[in-house]
Amino acid sequence: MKTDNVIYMLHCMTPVHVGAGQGVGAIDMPMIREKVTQWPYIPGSSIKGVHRDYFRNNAGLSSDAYVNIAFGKESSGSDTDGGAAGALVMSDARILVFPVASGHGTFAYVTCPLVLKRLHRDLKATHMDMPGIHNILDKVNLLQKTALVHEDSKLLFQAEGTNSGSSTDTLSLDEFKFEAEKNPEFTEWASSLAKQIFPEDDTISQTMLTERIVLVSDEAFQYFVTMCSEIVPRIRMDTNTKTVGQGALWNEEYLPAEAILYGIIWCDTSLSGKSSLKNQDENLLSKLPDQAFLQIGGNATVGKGRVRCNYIQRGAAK
Amino acid sequence: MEHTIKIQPLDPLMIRDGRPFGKTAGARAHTLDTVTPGVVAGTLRSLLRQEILNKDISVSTNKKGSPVSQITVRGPLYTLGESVYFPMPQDVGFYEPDASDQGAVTFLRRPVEEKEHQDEMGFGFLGTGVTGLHEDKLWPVQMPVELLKPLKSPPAYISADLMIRWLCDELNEEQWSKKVDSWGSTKQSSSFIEAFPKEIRTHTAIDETTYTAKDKQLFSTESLVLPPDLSFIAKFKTPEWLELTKDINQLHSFGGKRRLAHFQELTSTDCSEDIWTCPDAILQAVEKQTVTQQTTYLRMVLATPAFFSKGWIPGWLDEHLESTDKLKLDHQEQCPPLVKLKLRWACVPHWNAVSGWSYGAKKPKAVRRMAPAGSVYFFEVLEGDPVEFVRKFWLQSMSDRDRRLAFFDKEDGYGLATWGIWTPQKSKEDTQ
Repeated sequence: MKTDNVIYMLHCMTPVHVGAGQGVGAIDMPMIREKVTQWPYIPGSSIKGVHRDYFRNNAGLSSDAYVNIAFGKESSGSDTDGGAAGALVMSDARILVFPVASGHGTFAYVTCPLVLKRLHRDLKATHMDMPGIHNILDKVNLLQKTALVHEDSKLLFQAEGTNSGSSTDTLSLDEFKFEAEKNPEFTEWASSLAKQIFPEDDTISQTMLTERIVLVSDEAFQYFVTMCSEIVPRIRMDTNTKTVGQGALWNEEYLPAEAILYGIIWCDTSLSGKSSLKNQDENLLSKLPDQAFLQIGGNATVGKGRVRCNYIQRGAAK
Repeated sequence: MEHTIKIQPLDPLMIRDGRPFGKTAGARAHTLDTVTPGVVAGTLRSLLRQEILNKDISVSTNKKGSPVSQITVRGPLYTLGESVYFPMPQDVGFYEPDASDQGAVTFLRRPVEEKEHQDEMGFGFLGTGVTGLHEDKLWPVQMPVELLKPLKSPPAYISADLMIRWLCDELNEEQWSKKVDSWGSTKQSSSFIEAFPKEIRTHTAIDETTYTAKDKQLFSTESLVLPPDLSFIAKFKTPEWLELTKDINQLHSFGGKRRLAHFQELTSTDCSEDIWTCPDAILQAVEKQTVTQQTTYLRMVLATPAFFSKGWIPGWLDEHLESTDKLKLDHQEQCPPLVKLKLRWACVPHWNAVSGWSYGAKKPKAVRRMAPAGSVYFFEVLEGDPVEFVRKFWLQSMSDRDRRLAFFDKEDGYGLATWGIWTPQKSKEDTQ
């Protein structure tokens, strides 16, 4: 089957700040969030911009002609050259798992049923499948204070249950406790997800994910993504006095390191068909590497915004 | 062959209005409040154009008047879960609770037939008063006596089940208030959908040499945020020379900034044809009124914005506001009209400014004022068979042809109409 789309997975290696302008509250520089859900995301325009830069700086990977056809060409201003739209269309990067401090296991990769529903919808649109996701959506009906974990989870500890003498699997996220259940359907899905997000040889990252992933209710997830982002106070030093400049204290909000997002890249074949590219370049999506290290958002010079991007293509369900 | 397509947007959508968006610092690209039929029709034709290119059929695909540009598309309607939704009809008004605090106040907007009471009632507005152009033809409408504040966030879309009951003239003010109150507290009821919120994104252009924001290149874009499960439904008919080899099931960009949407063909097992067929309940209601009442009254509620050659008045009405021979479906040119209608009143909110982009001419289309979706036209049936008329004209385009040949409003699905019955309101003196 002809494939005209891929799913990309973004793994934040360092905190990421794609800003939403200046805030009016305690956070001076908030990160961008979805209008209705208030979940953090990365706009498709940012994803496309850094990909254009990636291909422009990797001359061995692509030509100028590829960059212009894949990402668009600005008009030169003359009547005969009106510019061209890019053939690659990139969706917003939506949140898939959000890291939250855990009492056991250091931190957890937290997700929720609504995230999985949106993922399922996007996978269906791209003709991709992810083993186990149907079972979770069909069978799981989470209560407010329960959570599903992988069978190899390192997040659990034993706490006294309501019946005297009994103990239950419990996990502690931020300041909240959840009753945990090792769920086979969730285990199947989380194992396949780990293989898709991380390269085949990166078993350490895969294990980190499966040992720490947890499915909580939508309401709990809402709390974590809105209240547990990374807030960094920043100052600016006066170069002469070596003290803090007047009024130069501000707070920045970051999507924490270890957050994982996903999105879709679609190739408009009607635009790529007009290309003057050589045969080997004709499938624009085939130029995407298996994985790319990109820098997204602000404050690159202080180590922010480094992400690992994996591309799942050709219906690649593992 | 006819195809019904479900369009599931995957990202917020930008449906551009006609305002310019160029290289000006601080410029903002605005979005309309809803998805216009032209965007749906244009996108579906782009999909078909790709099919033609793949099949290597020798047809001009990107020129004005090409066969592809005249493929008839109907839509969009909306679906959420299993239910179809229509734009909210404007002949019912919702107001903030009054002093008694009994919940939202509902007022049904209905013309009053008894002309002899009009002077006593003090009417003289909305085109039906002493100086109105059509005062001898239109009937006045009864309005709330007290000044009421419109409901802050009224429903914007109504489920097909409730709409059918409304078109059968079955709902009274109390039932409406209950429905709106139960929906308003949680927004979870399946009866309504609220207006789509808009998000604003701020963008900068990055200089590729310095990696800093380019000077004076800060701009913003506005998008519609749709509920996660909301889809659009549209229908089109392919000509004989273009039979699709397989069902449509793919991604395609939709609207401004090329946001992605999933296009999937609905099959007969999805009851796709039921969406476009007039419900039996409405036909029975029309029939019942025809048999039991002396006069039949039909209501036309627009499901999509309509272009009318006389502004808010359809071009198929003459100077007496009576329908002419133009009131017929395009493929029934030879047949006499099924009914003769006379306009008695209309609820038409502020016009929609609708534009578009012409890929053929490579320039924006002219901005035109259209009667918005949800507009309601009240007709009296003077002669003919209203049951057969409603059956045939259900969700058909009632738009007029634009004298400029650049527009294909009927083919694009502008002016799709649902039909129902209404009963003239009694004046207060009669009801006392």
